[in-house]
Amino acid sequence: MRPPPVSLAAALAARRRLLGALGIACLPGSPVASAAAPGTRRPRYRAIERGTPLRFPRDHGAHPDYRTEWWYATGWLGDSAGELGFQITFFRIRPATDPDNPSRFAPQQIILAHAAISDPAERRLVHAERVARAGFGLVQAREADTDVELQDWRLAREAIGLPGGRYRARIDAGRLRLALDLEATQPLLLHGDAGYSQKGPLPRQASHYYTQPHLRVGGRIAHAGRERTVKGHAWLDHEWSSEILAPGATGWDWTGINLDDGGALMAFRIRGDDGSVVWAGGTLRDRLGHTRAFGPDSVRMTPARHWRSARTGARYPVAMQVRVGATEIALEPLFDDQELDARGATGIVYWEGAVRAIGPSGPVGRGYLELTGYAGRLVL
Amino acid sequence: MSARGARSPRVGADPLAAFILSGLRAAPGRALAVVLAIAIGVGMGLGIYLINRTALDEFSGAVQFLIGEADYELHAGRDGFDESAWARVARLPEVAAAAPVVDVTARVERKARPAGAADASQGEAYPERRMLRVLGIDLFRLARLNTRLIPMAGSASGAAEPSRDSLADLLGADTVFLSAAALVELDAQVGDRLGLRVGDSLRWLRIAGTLPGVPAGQRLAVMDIAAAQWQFDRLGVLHRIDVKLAQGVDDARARRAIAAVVPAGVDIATAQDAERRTSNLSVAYRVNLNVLALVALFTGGFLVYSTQSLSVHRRRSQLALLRTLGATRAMTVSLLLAEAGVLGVAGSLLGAMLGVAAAAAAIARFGGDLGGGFFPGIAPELSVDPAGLVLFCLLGVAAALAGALLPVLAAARVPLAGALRAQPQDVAERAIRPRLVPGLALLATAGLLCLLPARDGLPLAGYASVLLLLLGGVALTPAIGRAVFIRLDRIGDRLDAPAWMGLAVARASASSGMTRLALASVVASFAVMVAMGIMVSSFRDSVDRWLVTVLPADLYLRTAAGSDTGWLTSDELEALRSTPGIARVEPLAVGTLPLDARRPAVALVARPIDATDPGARLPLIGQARPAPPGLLPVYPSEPMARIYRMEVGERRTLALGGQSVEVFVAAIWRDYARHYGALAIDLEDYRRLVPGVRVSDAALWLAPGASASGVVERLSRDLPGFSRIEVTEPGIIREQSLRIFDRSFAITYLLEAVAVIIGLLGVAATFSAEALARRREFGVQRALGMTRGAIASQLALEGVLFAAVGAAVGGAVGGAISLLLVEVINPQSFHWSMDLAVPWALLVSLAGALVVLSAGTAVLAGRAAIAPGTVGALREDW
Repeated sequence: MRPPPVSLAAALAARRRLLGALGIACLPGSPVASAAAPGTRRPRYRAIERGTPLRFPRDHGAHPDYRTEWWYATGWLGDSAGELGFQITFFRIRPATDPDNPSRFAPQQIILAHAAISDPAERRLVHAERVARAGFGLVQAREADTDVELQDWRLAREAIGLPGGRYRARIDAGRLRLALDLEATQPLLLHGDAGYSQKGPLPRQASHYYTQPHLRVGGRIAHAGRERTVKGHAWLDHEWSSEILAPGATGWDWTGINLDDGGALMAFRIRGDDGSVVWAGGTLRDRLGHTRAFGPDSVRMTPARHWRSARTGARYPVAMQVRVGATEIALEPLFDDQELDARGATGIVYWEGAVRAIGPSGPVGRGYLELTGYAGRLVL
Repeated sequence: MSARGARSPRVGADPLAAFILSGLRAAPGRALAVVLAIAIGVGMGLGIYLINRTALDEFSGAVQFLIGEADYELHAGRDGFDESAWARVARLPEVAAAAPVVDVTARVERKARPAGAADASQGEAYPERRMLRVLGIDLFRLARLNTRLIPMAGSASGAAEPSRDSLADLLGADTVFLSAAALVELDAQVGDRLGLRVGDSLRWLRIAGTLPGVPAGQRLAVMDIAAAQWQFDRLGVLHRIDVKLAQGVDDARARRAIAAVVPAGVDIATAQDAERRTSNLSVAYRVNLNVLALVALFTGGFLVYSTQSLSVHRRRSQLALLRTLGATRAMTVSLLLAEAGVLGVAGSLLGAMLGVAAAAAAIARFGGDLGGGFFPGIAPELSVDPAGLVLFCLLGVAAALAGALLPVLAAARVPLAGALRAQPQDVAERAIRPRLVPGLALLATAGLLCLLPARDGLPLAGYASVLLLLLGGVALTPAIGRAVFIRLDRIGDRLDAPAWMGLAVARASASSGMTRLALASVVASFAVMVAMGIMVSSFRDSVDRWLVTVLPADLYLRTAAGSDTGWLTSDELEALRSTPGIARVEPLAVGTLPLDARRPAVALVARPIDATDPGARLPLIGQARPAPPGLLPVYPSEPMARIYRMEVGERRTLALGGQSVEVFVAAIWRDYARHYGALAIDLEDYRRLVPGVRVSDAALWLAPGASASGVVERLSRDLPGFSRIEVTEPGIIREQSLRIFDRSFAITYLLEAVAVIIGLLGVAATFSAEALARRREFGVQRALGMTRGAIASQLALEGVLFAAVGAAVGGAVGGAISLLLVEVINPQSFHWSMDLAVPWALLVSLAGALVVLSAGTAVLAGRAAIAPGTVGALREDW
């Protein structure tokens, strides 16, 4: 056996280091440097402020003054062959580079996309990813409404005729293609305080965050040489922030569940280096549309079962017990290996999987569970 | 019985080995000379081969590595092309991935350690010129094509730097990532800051990490493409787009699609094209050096010929004895060839060692191109490939065997009886009248061959023609010598010359096999000397005159010197113009013009050229023709005109500044600086086509009465940033250029020295071979009352005669060869012509020296035969 070429391994390692920082482990913005030498100035990221009302459709669009932003669609689809989970994510990142660079290539915004399907027949994620700097009309995140383009990959919202509009998602990675339309059936769900979602002990450790739950999905998915027409339900998050992780935080656990009765449940916790919970929060909308936001004291996420990835060595709590206020559900994964290992492309490694929500008397809904920061130590 | 039978073959083998050894032992000096000659040939050839191979491997490795997995590399010249082409290419359905690249070489002037961050604007200056090639890349796009160029943030030790935002570093506008070789070259480490010269300012970049994927030996830096555009003042410009095609797209369709969306002048090259381009860059230079090595081998072979002739001659009776003892003719032939083979093997092995050592030393000292400048940016390590090693050793042995073949065959033809009578006098050969036909046939073939064009840019037929000329000259020499000596003999008779003179001429005209050898040696060696002497002198003379024409000004200012980021600002040019003492300022801008994906780009030289009198600035060949109105006059250099078949008065379409432009070939000029071609164009014309042209050089004419030193002093006082500008006087440029010229031709002087030694060895071999045979002859002469002095004079005169005739024939052959070199081989290899300049003084003195040395050698070699007591030789009988 020959070891892989050193250079290749090193290059991959480099990318792991580089993009490990993307989206997930962003550092707080450094202060503006002196304006003397070209290239040395740093951008000043806008801070999230409580009380800033969200206005639509403008806030469906991108917020380039903030450090990170994402549009995150997850859901369950089905056809005659059975059920599968899907995930389509577009990230926008504003790197800490000199905003004065007049070059048309200046990396003022980076767009990153992941697409994955959780097909029980595969017993692992099938995924594709892409990353590029915005510019030249090829890659962009528009501000007026949701419209993120990464060359021919795109997620765009149309307002036509529907209460919440319709999202069109197009991903073509050759071996994996998704063409899905996601129609809103319910009003938006604003998290925290009217869309201000605190993520740490300090008020500025927060994001603006809303969800479009219970999207009705139809479209086509192709992979492994097979194309199928699918239908199902999805959940779309849109969140932006400049400081989403408090210092000392390593990652988070998050879940979003479309409840079978028409309700919606979101819960997250942010974990510290020492395994402690730095912050937690959640939102519950019942079938009648009454919404309640919960703070750190009222949200619990307790690992029920772990699974270790042979690829990365990371150990994920793939089954969880979640309590939001008085509501308690158990999350069971569609299958265990839903780790998204994109070290070869965007450098990001995390677990993002389709889960069933089970109440005291049986299944109550379906959604997604996201577990980040578990492969972090391995990266370094 | 059986025991004896088993032993007898060994008994037979031992005398054979002993015979070889005796041959070697009898004349250890000569054996050593043969070994050395072969060693020099093999060593030179192998050395040159290894140096080139190493450099070329490294360089084409670099080219391949830079291309990565891309199917095409779209590139224009040094000026690059508009960046909007990238988006159009990236959108094509035929294209799976397209990575834009900015490629800039900048001079690194200063370095600052992070500790001195407070006064980092200063840092420490590099004492010598350091260049750094910086690739501006789009990390995300390139990652799909070439992972080996992806930088790694942080130090190579891999220590985590939690406070460092590695994404911000990788995309930083002031960060740069260096390969290991570049770090060594700049004596820098991660965290240091480098001050790079860009125009009149210094840009400070922080070394934020390394390039772990870049192969060792490649000096390279990578930074974000936007940062590169900004920092190096190349906004809007790309130098390259690497393209990977979508699956199933064929070459023709892809090329059509791409060509439709890129500006004119952007070349679509495959990896093979790029490789070919690299190899084309130095092929002529390489082959010419290798041919010099073959000349060395040829001379080595010739040396074997002369020593082996002598050795065979001396051992004629021994050979005959072997034959009577039952050895077949074939056995004796193989025996003698084996003897030559032993010498060849010894010489080859020694030469192989010499070659490897010389190559290693040369690469360490001058780099892979021996200072030729063909392969910048690499620090190669010698790689010895076994195939080359074996090939050159085989060539060495072959040369030795070929040299021995003729004398050995001749010896084998001698009838047994005559040889056994131990008459070293060459009865059989004397009877042979020198033949004219083979020599004439060789010369005729040579004449035909030199008319053939080059093959693959190489004058192979020309080289063959040189070899045949040499052989033909050698073959004809006996006939010529005989004719001359017989005539001399008659003249001597008529003039009633002293006896020793008559005897000398008579001896010489009785051309035996051995005298033929002396003549041949002199002819071959003198021909090589003359050919090289005339060629080098013609070349040097032409270069010298060319330098005078291309350097008409009083002072030259240079800012770039190998970098892309040194230039004079328009303010600086204005300041120069208004400086007292400067009468005239002519700026010069340099770009590149890729015309053929498989060839190095043509240099584009933009300077003020008066269309009505281009000869004022360019050393024209032939007449200039005025351009018709509306057509842009351009001036290709001679190599460009030859390579791209351009003629004065012709219209062409060239891609200049991203547009197709109708041009008129107004004149062709001589250029010895760029053998892959240069195109001169008026600076104002060029500025109209390419806005934002940067002036890198300027020529200054001084006002009457102004002194160069005074002007330089004033400039260094009044012009900020003047310290970065190199100021030279034309005399110094000329001196430096000629010094470089002489250095690159130093090897030919070595070959000339080797040639002289060969000639003299041939003479020495002849006279010592005949010395013994002539003891009785001299005895008779002494008995008849000739003094020893008279006999010595006779020998000296014989030496003089051989040398004189040899030099005359050799001179003629050498002159013909030099014509071939000047008129055929150089134009075919380098696409430039030169004027013949014969160094008469040198040639005459060389001929004189050869004649004198030859006389001395003859006397020395014959001294044994005329020593006191040789009267007794009369009684001697075998």
